[in-house]
Amino acid sequence: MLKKKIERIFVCLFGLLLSVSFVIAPAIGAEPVVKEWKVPSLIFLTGPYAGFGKQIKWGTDEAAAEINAAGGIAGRPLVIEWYDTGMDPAKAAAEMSKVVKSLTIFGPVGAPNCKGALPLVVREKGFAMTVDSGAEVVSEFFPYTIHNSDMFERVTPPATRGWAKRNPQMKTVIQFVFPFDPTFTDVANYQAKTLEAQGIKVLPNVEISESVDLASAVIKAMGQKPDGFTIVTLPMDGAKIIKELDKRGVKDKSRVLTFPVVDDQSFFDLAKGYIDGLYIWHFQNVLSKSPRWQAFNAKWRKAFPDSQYATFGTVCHYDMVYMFKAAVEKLGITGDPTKVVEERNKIREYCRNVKGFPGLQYNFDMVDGLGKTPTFLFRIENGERKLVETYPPIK
Amino acid sequence: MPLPLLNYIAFSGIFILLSWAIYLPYRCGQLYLAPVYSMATGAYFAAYVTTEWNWPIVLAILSSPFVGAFFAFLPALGLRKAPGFTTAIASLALIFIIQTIVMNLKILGGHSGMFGIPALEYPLTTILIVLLVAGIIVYRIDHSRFGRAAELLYYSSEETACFGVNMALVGMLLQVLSGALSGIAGALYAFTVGSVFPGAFSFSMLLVVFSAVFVGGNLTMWGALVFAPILWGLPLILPEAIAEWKDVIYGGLLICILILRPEGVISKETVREVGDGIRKLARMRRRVFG
Repeated sequence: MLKKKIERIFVCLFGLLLSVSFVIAPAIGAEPVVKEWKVPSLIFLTGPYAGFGKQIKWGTDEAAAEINAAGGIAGRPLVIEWYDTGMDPAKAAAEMSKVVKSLTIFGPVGAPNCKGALPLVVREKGFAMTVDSGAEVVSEFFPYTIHNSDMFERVTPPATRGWAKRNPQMKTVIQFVFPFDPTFTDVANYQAKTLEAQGIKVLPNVEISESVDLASAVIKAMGQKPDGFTIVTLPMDGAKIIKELDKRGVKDKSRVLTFPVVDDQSFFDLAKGYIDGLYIWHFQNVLSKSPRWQAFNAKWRKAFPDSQYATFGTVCHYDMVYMFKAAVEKLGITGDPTKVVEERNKIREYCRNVKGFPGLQYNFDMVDGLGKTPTFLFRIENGERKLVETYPPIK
Repeated sequence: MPLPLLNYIAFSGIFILLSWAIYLPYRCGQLYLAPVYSMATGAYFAAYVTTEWNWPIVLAILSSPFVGAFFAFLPALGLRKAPGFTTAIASLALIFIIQTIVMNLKILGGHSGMFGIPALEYPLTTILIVLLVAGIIVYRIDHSRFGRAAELLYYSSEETACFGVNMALVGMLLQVLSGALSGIAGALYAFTVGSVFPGAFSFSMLLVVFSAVFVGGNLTMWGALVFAPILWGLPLILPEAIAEWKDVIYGGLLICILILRPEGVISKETVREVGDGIRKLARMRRRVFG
């Protein structure tokens, strides 16, 4: 009897030990073999958009500094190696060729650079975390990359409908569009489809290249007597259009909708005094009460005193670094050069479908490489954003 | 071969072809900026026929110079006799035209462009063969009666007319040849990068090839051959702090060279001196080793 009891205790203990070993074994076996996690990051630090690039670099460096101050990734420091792509697809491809076999790559950033560099990632079956360059552009290269927000096709309609609902008298709309970036033209098309579905006629687009004086474009648009306007341009051009519209009698700015790219400090600075009533839709909620976001934005203001809120690109890249950390630690990645392909595939699959990822402003799911994030509609009142509606992620 | 080196050689080859495409019409004094336009036609052609019609890559590469030449021939009908400045402005406009056309053509992917273009199976061999063949053609043109007629036209149109040279034909042929070189450069670009889109064929590309021709040497084909890889590769190896100043370096170099040495670093005399040096070395070698 006693013997049987002892046997049973032994069996139970053995079972318990076995279970515990299953739980902790990956962690023990997952001791990294690298002294530091070197991750290449491709971004434009020169050229016409270098200012945006430097902001994104700051956000990435900030995340790495925080992670390293808290003990690194699985006890090893994170070192980010920067590669400047300019806004040049050929250079982006050349820089990518230097790092394409890495465990993970941060970037590239910008639609032209993605189109230049990501085909190489696909050919080499690598993994580039291209988190903020337009989901439509980046999704061409799935599953070898990810994007932190959903397709514009899905996220554009709710906010556009929200704006149309708030302007029931609006029967015709005209769109100012920057034609040289496919993301801009895609958004304009989705906005047009949504508005037409609401019974609003969308007049032919007015294309805006970067120019000093946009008066002629605005006069051309006004000539068609539209009731509403959408601005799908670069921020500075957006600001100039707003001022020109104001000059030509469009005082009620609630008839104007801008898309996320316009929402930049340069836009607010240049269009100051002309934007009350304006609607902006965006993926990020700069009014979020999240303590992490508040702390991050306080640091941002110190680093960029002229800018009130961190840009969406900066936030995305900050989140991206933490996503890499989560993948490495949860999957027990070792960094062993002989296992780079296997470990890279694991990281890629984790990032493509991680659930409830704690982002800087909100938690979000990744589904097949796309971030399922909410959309927000803001209205400008007394020069400040006011959140008027939040649209949940489209499943 | 390591991937970065392979990529560097591939892009150097493409930029050399483009630089020669600028150099050829400049032989008769035409500042012809349309190679980027012809390159776009070659690139889109190669991308389309390989992805939509499943043409073999070799066939696409072999056909691309004809496509580039055809699209260069159309504006050449009007630009063949145009003076340097007019050619520059009109050919610059062609870049805008081709960008707008492809942006509005859905079958070419519109603004988004085309993806999933197959890669060259033997990129190094293919690019070196294309470069060698193109180099021989440019060299033969340089040293032919036609090339000398073009050179005379560069110095004086009156004297050229006195010799009975058909100036319009010379201008047109050089522009068409330039289109052929650009067309094949475009096909190689499409297969190297794996995607084509309107923004890829822009003025920044023109800046590199323009610098290669005018810094390297605008009166000999060797200038582009030596300086296109240097100027294209420079920002890739420069330390980050200096790389930010890349455009200033290009611009500064261009200004300094144009002031101090208008014919570029490698002039005809330089080529002659190097040639003499090589011949002397060969003679010495023969004497020493019998």
